[in-house]
Amino acid sequence: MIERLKRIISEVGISDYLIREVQTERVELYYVRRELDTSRSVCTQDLSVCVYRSYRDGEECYRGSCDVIVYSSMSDSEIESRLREGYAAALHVRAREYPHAPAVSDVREDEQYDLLRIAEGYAGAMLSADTVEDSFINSAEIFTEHTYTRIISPFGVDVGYPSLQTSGELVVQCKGEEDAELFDYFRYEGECYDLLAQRTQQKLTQVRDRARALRDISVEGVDLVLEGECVRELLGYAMFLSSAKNIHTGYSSAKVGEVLRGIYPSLTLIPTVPYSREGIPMIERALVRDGRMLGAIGDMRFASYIGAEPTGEYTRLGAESGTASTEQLFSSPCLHVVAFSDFQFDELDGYFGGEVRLGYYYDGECVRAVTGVSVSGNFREAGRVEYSAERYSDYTYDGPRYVRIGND
Amino acid sequence: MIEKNKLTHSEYISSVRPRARALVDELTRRYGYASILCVDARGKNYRVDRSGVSVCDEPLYCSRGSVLRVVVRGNLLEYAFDSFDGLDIEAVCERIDRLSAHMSDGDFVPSDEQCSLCESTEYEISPQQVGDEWILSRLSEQRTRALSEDERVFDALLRLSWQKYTKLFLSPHRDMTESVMWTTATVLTFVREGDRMKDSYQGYSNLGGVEVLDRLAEEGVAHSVKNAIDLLSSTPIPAGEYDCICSPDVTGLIVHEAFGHGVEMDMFVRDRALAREYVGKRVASELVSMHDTACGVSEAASYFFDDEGNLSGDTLIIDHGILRGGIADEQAASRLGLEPTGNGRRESYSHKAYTRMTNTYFEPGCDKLEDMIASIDHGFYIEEARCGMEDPKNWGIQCVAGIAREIRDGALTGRVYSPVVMSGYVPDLLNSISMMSDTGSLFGCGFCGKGHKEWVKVSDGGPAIKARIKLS
Repeated sequence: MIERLKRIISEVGISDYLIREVQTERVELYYVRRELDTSRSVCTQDLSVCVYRSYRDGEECYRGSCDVIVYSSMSDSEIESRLREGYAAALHVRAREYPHAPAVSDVREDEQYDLLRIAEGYAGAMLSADTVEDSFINSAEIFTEHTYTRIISPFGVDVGYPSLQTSGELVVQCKGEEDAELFDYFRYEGECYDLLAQRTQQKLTQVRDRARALRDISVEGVDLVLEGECVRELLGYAMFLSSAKNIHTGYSSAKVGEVLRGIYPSLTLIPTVPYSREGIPMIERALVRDGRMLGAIGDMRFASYIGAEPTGEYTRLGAESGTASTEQLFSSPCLHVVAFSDFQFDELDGYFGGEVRLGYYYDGECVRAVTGVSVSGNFREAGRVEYSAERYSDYTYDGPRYVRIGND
Repeated sequence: MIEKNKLTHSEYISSVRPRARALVDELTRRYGYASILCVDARGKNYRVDRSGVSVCDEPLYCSRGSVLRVVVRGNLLEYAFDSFDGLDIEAVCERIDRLSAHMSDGDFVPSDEQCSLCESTEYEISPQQVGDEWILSRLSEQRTRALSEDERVFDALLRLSWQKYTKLFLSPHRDMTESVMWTTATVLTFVREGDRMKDSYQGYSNLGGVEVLDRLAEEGVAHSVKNAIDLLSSTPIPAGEYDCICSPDVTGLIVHEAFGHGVEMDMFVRDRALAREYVGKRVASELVSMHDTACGVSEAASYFFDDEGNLSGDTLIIDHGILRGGIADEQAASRLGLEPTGNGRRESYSHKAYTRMTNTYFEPGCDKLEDMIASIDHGFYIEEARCGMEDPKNWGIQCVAGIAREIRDGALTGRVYSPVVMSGYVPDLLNSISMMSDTGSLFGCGFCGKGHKEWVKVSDGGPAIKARIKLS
């Protein structure tokens, strides 16, 4: 299909483009309680062509672009029509000229997987962990997916790489003093059955606490301790501030070498794919050291506009461990939130908050599970922020497990 | 009288019909029941803002492929694929057999009453006919206008999105084709004063074409700029319980997040919805009647049949305060001994069908907005629905709005608060509704997720309502 596409692109007269093809095979298992309720198998090919068009307007040079989606089931004339439409549209995208991604050739061998076996492996691990007294798995979805991504440009980008991931949802329930549930989302690369088993057991224990949790109690005036994904959300503010696009457009005033707003450990960008959408090799990059921004994150276009090295786009953030032991972090009154209904973070002004589905309130004497309280704060303005020495790792984050934010 | 045009069906769908029918017939012969949904969908996003102009095919709106559904020993199995070319039926059956091998016997019985249908929706101005340049030009005009309204306007993000799809559903007794197009136009204005930056959003949707841009131009841009400027002086709201007037879009947010998700009956099957215990009981004030419908209104989430081949319906969920029932996909309906309500929807052909809302709203009442505001001693007028999260298990409200305007002694004081988090217990809020305006609106710019995935187009709305709400 790619050769066919290149031929049609050439016939249309387009000389600057980027083809992206993703072949996907996926097995999906849907559980209600411990019973397999529905199963699905998916086999698809996604193809897109970003067409570029360089043009001049007076003294200025522009490089417009337009993403066009095509299918192998299209006729040649249909593909041609779509490409022409996209090429015409690119003329109206007045993007100041920027370079194309540099040549790189790395077409890796695809691998074969028994996706059903792997999905069932994860399911088995999850179900085997369903042993916590009083709580149980209400429902779950497990998606095991194998993809092969190919990116090609006429300027020497020719990369291809496979990927194997399992993602899913887990709902756990406890019919205790209250009928409580907790929702969890997970994602793993490869075969990490034990990690899912551990996570399931942790959620089953937590939902039992939620069933006994106190509701609507006052937790004002105490420090807040966030955990896991919420720590990642807050630290992700550094990625917003360091975005080349945001710097170029003025949404971020951050500058390389200067201190970023907020209090951060050292941060590292960790690639989850070998190449970006444009074919930029993805490598680990230091983002923040001693609170200072070391570089910007951006694609070919916006990186060039601010004179930065193009990095590609990142999902996973690494952070240096903090120095606070768990004992220190929980030595004085605080609200420790382990699950929000929907944690919100406003990157415009640094406000964060949400409704607590499960938290642990330490008032200085005892710890009580709480639910139904709302918390909010401002990460940009926080004066006291401590990160834990204990670490947490998932698909998007590897860093301090906890952050304690002072209520000053 | 504005002339309307009917959408034509996809040529691709017409071309694959014979092969789709042959596949269904063969798999029915082997398994007893099979159906297929074939989809050809296309959509674009246009965006004009400070970073420049962009126009592209939007992956969420574009798909071309099919999903086969078979029932094996009472279990539902599906195989999704993008092309009939090279499709090997033996390999498909091998996959299905392997998937079903580890499943216990089930009790799912698909509905398959005779139905033949061929319908399409209408539009005034086709985005494909006016072309990309025209659309970008209109958006750029409005952006220029927003920037010129006030020197504090830092940016205005103007966006237009459209999707057109044709779906074909075939089963032993059904042959159904539909073509639908929706379009949305939105403005997100950013204002800056010193170190402070605020934003405000207005959106318009229709079941049709780019004629929706007229509404954005008439009122959306000015309203968005005004709200954003007002927000510069906003402060966090003092937490408490207040008498509130909710604008129609905030009413819609409450309808959708606080109640709508709670009556998706696949949650009843999983014992995840408190609403199941309240069917036939009072859950709201006498003033409240609530619908979910893909055929009773003409909005972005309207269609003729769902992704399981069931005709769209108009489900009366709350009838003058009494919960009558919910919405159900085919599996949930089968488990509960009910008829499916035409709410089985997929993000795309490659995704599973779940019970999903469509156009969800409260019926209007009889009150005038000015009378509703005048009735409040101390409270707020809440505008700009932002986001929410469902909590069907506990019927908790977790909704966020953009702006609360203080009302004292029956009049707006000019004081503004933001953000506005609405919380509490859904029946308490719904039972406290004491006034409803005599006109309503629906808003279909957003997508709804099931948890954090499975995005489908929805609309929600209603009249302005007066209710007692916990704010923080």
